[in-house]
Amino acid sequence: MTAPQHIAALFLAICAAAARAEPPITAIAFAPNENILVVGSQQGLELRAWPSLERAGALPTELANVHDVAFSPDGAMLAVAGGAPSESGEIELIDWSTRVRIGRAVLGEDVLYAARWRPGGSELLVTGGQGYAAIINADTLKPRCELLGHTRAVLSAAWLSQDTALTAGVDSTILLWNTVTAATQRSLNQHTDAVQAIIVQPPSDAMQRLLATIGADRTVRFWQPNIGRMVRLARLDSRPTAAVWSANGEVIHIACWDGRVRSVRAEDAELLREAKAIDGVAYAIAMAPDGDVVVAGSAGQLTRLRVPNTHSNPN
Amino acid sequence: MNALALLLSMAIGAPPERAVDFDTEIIPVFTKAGCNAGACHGAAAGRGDFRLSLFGADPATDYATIVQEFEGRRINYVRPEASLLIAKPTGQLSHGGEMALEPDGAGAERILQWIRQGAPRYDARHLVEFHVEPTTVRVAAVGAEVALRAEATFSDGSHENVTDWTVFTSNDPGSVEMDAKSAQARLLRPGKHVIIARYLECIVPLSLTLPYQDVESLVHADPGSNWIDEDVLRLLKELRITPSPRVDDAGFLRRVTLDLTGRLPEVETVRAFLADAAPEKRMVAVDRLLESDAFVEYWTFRLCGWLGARTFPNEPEAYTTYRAWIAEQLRADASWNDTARQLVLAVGDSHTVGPANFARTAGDARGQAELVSRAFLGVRLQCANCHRHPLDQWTQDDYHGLAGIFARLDRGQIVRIQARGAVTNPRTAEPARPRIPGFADLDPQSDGRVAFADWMTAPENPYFARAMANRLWAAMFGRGLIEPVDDLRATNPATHPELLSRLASDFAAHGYRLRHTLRLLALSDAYQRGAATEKNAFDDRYYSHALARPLEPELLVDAIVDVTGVPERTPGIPPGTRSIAIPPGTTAPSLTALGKCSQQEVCGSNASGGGLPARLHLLNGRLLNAKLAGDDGALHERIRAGASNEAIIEEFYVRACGRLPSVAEREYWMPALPVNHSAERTAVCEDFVWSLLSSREFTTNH
Amino acid sequence: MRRCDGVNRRALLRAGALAGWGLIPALLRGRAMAGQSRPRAKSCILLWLDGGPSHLETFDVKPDAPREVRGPFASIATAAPGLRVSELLPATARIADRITVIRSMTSPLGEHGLANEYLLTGYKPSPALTYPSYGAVLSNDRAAAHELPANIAIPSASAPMGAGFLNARHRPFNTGGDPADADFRVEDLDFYPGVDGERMDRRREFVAQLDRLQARVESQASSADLDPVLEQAYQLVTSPSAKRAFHLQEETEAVRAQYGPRTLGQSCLLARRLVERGVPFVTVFNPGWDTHDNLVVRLKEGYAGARVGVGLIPTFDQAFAALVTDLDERGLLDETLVIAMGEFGRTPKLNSGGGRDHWPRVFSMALAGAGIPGGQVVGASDRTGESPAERPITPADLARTIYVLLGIDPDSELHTPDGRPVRINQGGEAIQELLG
Repeated sequence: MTAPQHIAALFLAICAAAARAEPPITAIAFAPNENILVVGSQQGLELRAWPSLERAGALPTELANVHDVAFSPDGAMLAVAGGAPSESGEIELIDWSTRVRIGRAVLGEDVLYAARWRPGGSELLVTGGQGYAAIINADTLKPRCELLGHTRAVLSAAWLSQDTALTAGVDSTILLWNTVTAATQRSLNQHTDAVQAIIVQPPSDAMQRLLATIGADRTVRFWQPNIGRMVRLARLDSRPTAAVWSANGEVIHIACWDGRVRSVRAEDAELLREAKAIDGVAYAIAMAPDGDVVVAGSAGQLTRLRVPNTHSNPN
Repeated sequence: MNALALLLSMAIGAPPERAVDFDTEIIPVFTKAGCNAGACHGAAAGRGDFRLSLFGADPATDYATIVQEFEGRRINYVRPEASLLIAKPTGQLSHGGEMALEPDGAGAERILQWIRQGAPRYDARHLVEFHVEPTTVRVAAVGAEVALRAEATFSDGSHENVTDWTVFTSNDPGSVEMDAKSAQARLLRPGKHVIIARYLECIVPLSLTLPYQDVESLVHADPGSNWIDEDVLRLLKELRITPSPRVDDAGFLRRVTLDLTGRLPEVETVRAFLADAAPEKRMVAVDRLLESDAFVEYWTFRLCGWLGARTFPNEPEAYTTYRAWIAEQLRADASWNDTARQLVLAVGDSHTVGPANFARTAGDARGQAELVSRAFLGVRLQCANCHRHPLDQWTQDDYHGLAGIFARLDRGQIVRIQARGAVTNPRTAEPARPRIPGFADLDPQSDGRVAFADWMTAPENPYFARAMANRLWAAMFGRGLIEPVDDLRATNPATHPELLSRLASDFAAHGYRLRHTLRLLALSDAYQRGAATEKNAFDDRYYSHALARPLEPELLVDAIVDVTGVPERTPGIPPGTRSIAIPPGTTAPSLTALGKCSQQEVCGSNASGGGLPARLHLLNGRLLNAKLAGDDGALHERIRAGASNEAIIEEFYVRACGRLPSVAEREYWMPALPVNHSAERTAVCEDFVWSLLSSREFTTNH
Repeated sequence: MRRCDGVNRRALLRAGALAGWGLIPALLRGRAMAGQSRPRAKSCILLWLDGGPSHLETFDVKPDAPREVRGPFASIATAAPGLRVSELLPATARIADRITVIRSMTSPLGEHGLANEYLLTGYKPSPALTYPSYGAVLSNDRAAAHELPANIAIPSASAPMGAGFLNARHRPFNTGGDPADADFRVEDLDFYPGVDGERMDRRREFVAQLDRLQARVESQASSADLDPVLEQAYQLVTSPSAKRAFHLQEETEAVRAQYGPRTLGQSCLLARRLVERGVPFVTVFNPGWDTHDNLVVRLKEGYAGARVGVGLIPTFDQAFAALVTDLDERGLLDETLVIAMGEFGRTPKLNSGGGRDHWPRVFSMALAGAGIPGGQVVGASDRTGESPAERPITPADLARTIYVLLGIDPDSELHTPDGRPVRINQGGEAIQELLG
């Protein structure tokens, strides 16, 4: 390129920048049994219609950063987790039917990265920066107990049963908790870098639910959580950021740093397909009611993507 | 182009704001503020869950970390000023590194502007040239200040004053004080000092000189014997240091004999040399020494040391073969590049193939990578084991990649290439891809050693010839042009950069032959200067006078053996073996007492060696006392033969100091030694020789 | 909190001025303190745990940390309320009311050579100057006529313990040998057969004359004097009482047993004999702490499957506790500063070999004597022993404190051979807790 061309490129870049200054979307969730998607970013909470993905309203929030949105098992409540980095972890509770915020709490001194409802919906497991993990009451949002064990940011959490849950994060360990006693039952140590997400296989007829984890070591790992054994592993070409199980529990779809989605089969850890979803980094992925996925990430991008499913879709 | 810009600005509907470029404008802000230094977020483990590449060497990863990691927590697009990236370093939020950026300063302002633009990263431009003014400065007085100015040229054709974003570091803050904010250097002491300017990936050393005195003082302004003196004299002139006069013949002969052969000149040689009136006698002496067997033996000892040659239990053949091979290379005046090549590539039975022992010296591939870089390139790669070398360009990929080249070697008695073998690169947690450091990745399937050896010994290699030229200089002058001699890097420039470059090219141009360069050095005026005078005694690096250096333990023992005429006995070693020929790892009590390091120890700077234990050993130990008291020694033989005191005094002065005693010395000793044959006379004579061998003059090369 | 790379005073002042922080008075206090103090201790014994001892297995055990941080050993209570140490330090635990533990040492240097230089000199390594170690500075300060060398290393010193730019006579004198050997002796202290005191005097006179007459090497400005190292050697070998200091055999079996039969213990006993005779600085060099693998064998057992642990920590425990106890019982503890430390700590997370790698960001050390209030813990690391949680202390801070305790003004200047002034301590702030 000659110098003038370079300068031209720079100016074009500014035009692009002006268009791309939108913050990344960092959390998405489908409202159960409704064709509505909740989308969280630094601009707040937005509602999008499915499948058009067009704007369909907004929700109230004070969170500077939104890192997780999660509907209660009965679909009546929406938990929103995030906060101000290095200042406060914050959680808000929104009554879905009225779209009114009915609760708010500050938890910890760094953002919350995850809020997961306990089966039954009486409590939430929340995790965040600086090793924070706690079980909080879903009505009062007050912590019942802190889960002490992680040394660095806890990026992801999942319930395995009524009384067991998993947390994982930057210290590259996955901890299995007895949530009644707040004691660690097991620590799963195989990842060599931060664990980005931890997701539990949907219930099925199979005797045991698998656990899938993705890590900054660019691996996806499948585990038998109760015996703490890693059963399979696949390496990915890009760093994974978020993942979701297919409804039948046979495939996981992994959003990656390169904006692509990689689908990996659980039974043999084979990469079935990868497809471009967005430009930049894909931070969030959710299963749509029809078996497609919705992917969100850099510069407010949100897109729908058809993904493989091994057998017939049970819809 | 103007029309285009106008068009574009109209399209945006506002005056055009230049896009802040992450790679060339944001990274320097972090580097300048110290954020990506090894002690802060540049540490291998990062700091506070925030890890940047050391000095911003990896902008792509840094961008991902800053903008994208943890779902973009560090950037606030909606309220840019609330971004963690601003709030932390400006102290709005508690920060382990305190206030690294002033809240209203240009650095914070630039970061903010960049975030307002959406925190983008384009492949917009890169640094093409970095230039600092002035590169060499001469100031006249203590306290003088020099303003430094840095300019960068980028691939988009722009030139910018980047003084504010350049990190200036004084290599010696006690001599040059650097005000980081104003980019002003203040000279506190005379001498030639170094400031390192760092901007993006560029490191530029600047030299600042302040003369030692006000008056011009070169006593003799002759041009010197050869081109080596041009640079040495130029710097002395600049610093206004008076060089010492030429060393006398006896002093020259002793010095050059020790440096080239590791021993003292023989009595007859001294006498003949002193009597010789030929003007070119020093040159003749140098040539004679370079052709001698003693040269081969001594330089074999030196090369074995530099190569870290070692012994293995119950395998004496290995070292013997190795040593014999090195001696053969020296005898044949082999090219150093050829020798090095053979050492890197040799395979086979180390008991019969000498150079194959090189691969066995270090126990594993990483060790061999360190040894190769240290021995042949004068580069310390160790730091890059865990992170990018903080003072140099070496990355972890370089380090583990070089180790990868040697990963397939079987280092048993039979050195051979195995089908597989790899080292793990901790950065990627995967097998390291074989790599020539700072140069190119290699095909993991091929034997990377060949490509590496080609690269290493190629004339264009910036390190290979310099490393050896510097070592040879250090061997002759007692100090390297670069110190330490195995630490060549941009941030550790030579005292005489042009001289080292010229020396290296000359070494390469003359077939990498050690004898050629050694001869050149020995015949320079710089080498032939006398010891210090009052006026230049402070000088320890500009070569205004010869530096006195203690004889190494091996040389001291051998010299004592030669003067006393009594061979040293070391258990398990044939009597009469010189200390420089004793295999490393041998238990040699005299050498240990004099401070020689064992094979296991790492002794760089002889901090505790020698010293009091060595003195005690000379005072009370067997080494000197037994040799003096023994009937078979030279002193007792002379006494038995009826030698006069005068003859004894003269002979031992020549033996030990390589010179005749002065009048004052004769006048002191004559009355001190008893005349009549008696036990008393023998004892006093022994004490006389003892004191000669304990004196500064004897125990140093000067 | 302070900058990660340790305090740069000018930067601090600038930052303080900008932010209005009250740092300047603190600095000035630190200095004034130093100026007026009288020597607390006459001597110093440095137990140098070479290679970098694990803080997590010694003085900063993290029983509540995750398993991969916690390591193989539990912690125990000590005689000092609130101070817990590794279960491998039972003897030290019993005397913990007489020691002070610093848990927030921090340095940016994680390579042995550089870290050694920093911890042993208190100066950040510089390419321009080789700095003197504590022992050399003390020797330089106390070099007053004494037959024993002022700076002694048992059995030998490493390179960074040298004299730096100070005269070579301040280098540590290596005793050599192994004090645990039954026939331990320091080589070359006794006259060679056939050489008597008279001849020794003559040799001294001769060599002095020679050096004077040898105009050739008159470069050294001090050439008129006797070679100082030779003079030191002469003083030592001609003093029977000085030589007796090295006769460990004079100690009772009970005392020797108290220190333990191994090299470190007997070296500590020898160190006690030396400070008893007024030697200002004794280094006990204890190698092997670079424990990259197998903590259990290296730190506890000594060899695989040992029934009674003879590894690094039990050996240290017995020796250190015996030394402090013995000095105390002899009334020497108040005038002796005992320091136990290495060049850095170890990584919080265990590596795949069951060891820990280099970790300078936070580590621990122990001190006793010199009137330092006992039973204290200064500073703290965070939950996993990864970073200082409070009161970060740099090696320069430590150096300043050591010098103040030993009665050396840390703001006075040393001089290089070419006359350059170098402040004894650069950029350190005294640790007030240790000054009482």
